[in-house]
Amino acid sequence: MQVPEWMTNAPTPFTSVLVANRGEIAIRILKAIRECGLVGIGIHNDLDSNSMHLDYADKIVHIPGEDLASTYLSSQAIIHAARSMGADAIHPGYGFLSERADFAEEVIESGLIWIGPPPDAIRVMGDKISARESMIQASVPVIPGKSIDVKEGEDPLPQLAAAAAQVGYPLLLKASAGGGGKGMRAVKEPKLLRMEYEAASREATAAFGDGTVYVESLLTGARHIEIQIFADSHGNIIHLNERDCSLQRRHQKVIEEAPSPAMNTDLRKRMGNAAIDAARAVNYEGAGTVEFLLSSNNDFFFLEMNTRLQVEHPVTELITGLDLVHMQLRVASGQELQIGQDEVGITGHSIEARLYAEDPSVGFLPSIGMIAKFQTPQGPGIRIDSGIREGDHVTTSFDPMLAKLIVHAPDRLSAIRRLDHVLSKTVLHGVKSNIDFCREILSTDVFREKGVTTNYLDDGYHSHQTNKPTDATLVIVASAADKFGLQRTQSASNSKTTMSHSGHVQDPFLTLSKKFP
Amino acid sequence: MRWSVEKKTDIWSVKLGSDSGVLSVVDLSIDGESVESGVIIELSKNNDTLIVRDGQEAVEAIVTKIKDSWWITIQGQTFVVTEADGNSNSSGEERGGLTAPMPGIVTEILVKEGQRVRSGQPLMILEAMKMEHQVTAPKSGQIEKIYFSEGEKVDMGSDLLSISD
Repeated sequence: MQVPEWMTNAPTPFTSVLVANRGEIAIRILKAIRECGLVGIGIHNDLDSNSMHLDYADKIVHIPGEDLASTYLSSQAIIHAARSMGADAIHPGYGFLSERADFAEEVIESGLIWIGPPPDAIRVMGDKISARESMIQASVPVIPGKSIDVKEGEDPLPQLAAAAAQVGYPLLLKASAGGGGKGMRAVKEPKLLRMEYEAASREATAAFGDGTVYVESLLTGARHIEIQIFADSHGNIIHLNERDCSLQRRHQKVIEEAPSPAMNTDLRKRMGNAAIDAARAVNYEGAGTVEFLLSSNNDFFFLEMNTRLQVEHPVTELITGLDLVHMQLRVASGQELQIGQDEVGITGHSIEARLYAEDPSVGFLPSIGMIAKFQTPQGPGIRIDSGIREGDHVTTSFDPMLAKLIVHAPDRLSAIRRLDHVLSKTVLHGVKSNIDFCREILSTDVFREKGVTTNYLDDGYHSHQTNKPTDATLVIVASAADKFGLQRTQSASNSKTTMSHSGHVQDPFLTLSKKFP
Repeated sequence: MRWSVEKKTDIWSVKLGSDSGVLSVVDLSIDGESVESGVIIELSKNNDTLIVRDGQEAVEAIVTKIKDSWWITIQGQTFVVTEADGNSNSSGEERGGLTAPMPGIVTEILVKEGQRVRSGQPLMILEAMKMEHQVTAPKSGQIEKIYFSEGEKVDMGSDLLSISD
């Protein structure tokens, strides 16, 4: 196979890429690989031999096994699959092995090209404590905080109390190894410290196999602002503006947008430069995201760096006109970035809603079943990144994010209107979803005016659905549908939506070591 | 027909009458108490969705039947209405219908055309994504026609066989 034209003078050219992922992100990456004239290799395990992402792969390799540990999370199995298919490179996507420094190292040692940052950069940023130390050295502002290292059998309280006195209340307990809200607890007063510490440590141990907890000052009324950065192997680092992901439910992002309604040119420049400093401090290469908390008086603090492509990368693509996966492929081939900081612009406004299989009316419990109907609208400024199609089963084996609905419009209010339109025209039958929930958020005055702060949804958000058909109308429709003999489908799985018999009652989708923040 | 709306315990009873393709309420009650409704329903032009009229207002309802429930989307909001007839939920198991619940392969046919079957009797086995699905008779009757043979692929929603009373 010939190297595509754009790669002919590259220091490390390649022609085929194995995508070590599934779902919407695997589809997104496989499409880009084809478009770039490369060969895409898809993987699957015993449970998803019929998954949608395989339709976009030029070659498919089956990794035997049902559990994630021996398939999507097995570096050995994936590298073996890559070699057996003659792949030149591996793209990890997000989640799964994307932020495992050891995996990146093994990929490189086996002679394959790793489409991601250097293993050392992943390692430093993957641990909250070492990340924080390296940011302090690079003069990137960090939130006041302290780590708690409790020996086996030792009472944690003295250390906790000392740390709490240092950072002040309210404070946040975080899993040192964590992400995505696992092992994270807010503590408002001293008497709850021990209880919350124990809960956080337990959760951290369950989710990450490491119960180390970190104490930091809790900023209330802050926004979650993240800066997309891109670095090549020639020392060029640029930032691609910010994304505002303040709309979170229990530290899980729901709606993301770019640019942030809280941003101004000067602040963007300062945060952009801080993100570039952060990336330079760890000799970063490729796509990365530096997350900050922005306080109400415009002070910003480093939260963490995600050393991979982010779920919400499309909003950046839509406002900058860049293709981040193309850029990743280019950087991995050893070529320089094609643009400089001055050429990065912002056109219009973009918003993304994450479509989750969950039921907001029963505490957002995951919903499983067969997708009997899935329809999304098309039109200018509408992008649907989906990983499901009709007939697919949503199970507890994989992540509950089904698709991303993304819009682009000239300004923020038109983007909100467009996203509301997209949500209203999206039909999903077979599993419950957060469609209505997203629409309600978009319709609130506080979101429309200036966006929200990170605790908005957890601070007593109440559903106020209006304009609902009456129950009488619904049962008449059901009877009429029967009488007209409309489409009948039957789920092979139990579509009684909410799961209660799962091993992980709290979170049946807790199958990855990290959630996608 | 008797129905309940998800997360509610009321039992609705609905009887519709048809007048040149338009359905209107003949009898409607909730837990035995009569309710008035002027809602009328017709099929959309494409015959795949319903037009729901209440006075001057008309909205479209996009519907899918999954097991004993209709999933109904009206103006972007989705609701589930489930058959409330005693026997439908009693087994708790897969209740058979005569259309393919999923795209897959017919792995086994357990009956012959002309054979009499009783309600709940297994008729056919489908396989997809390594999952087996048993198609059972929704009612007692005689197998009129079998539309597929073993080894054939079926699309979701395809008619598999028909039963006469």
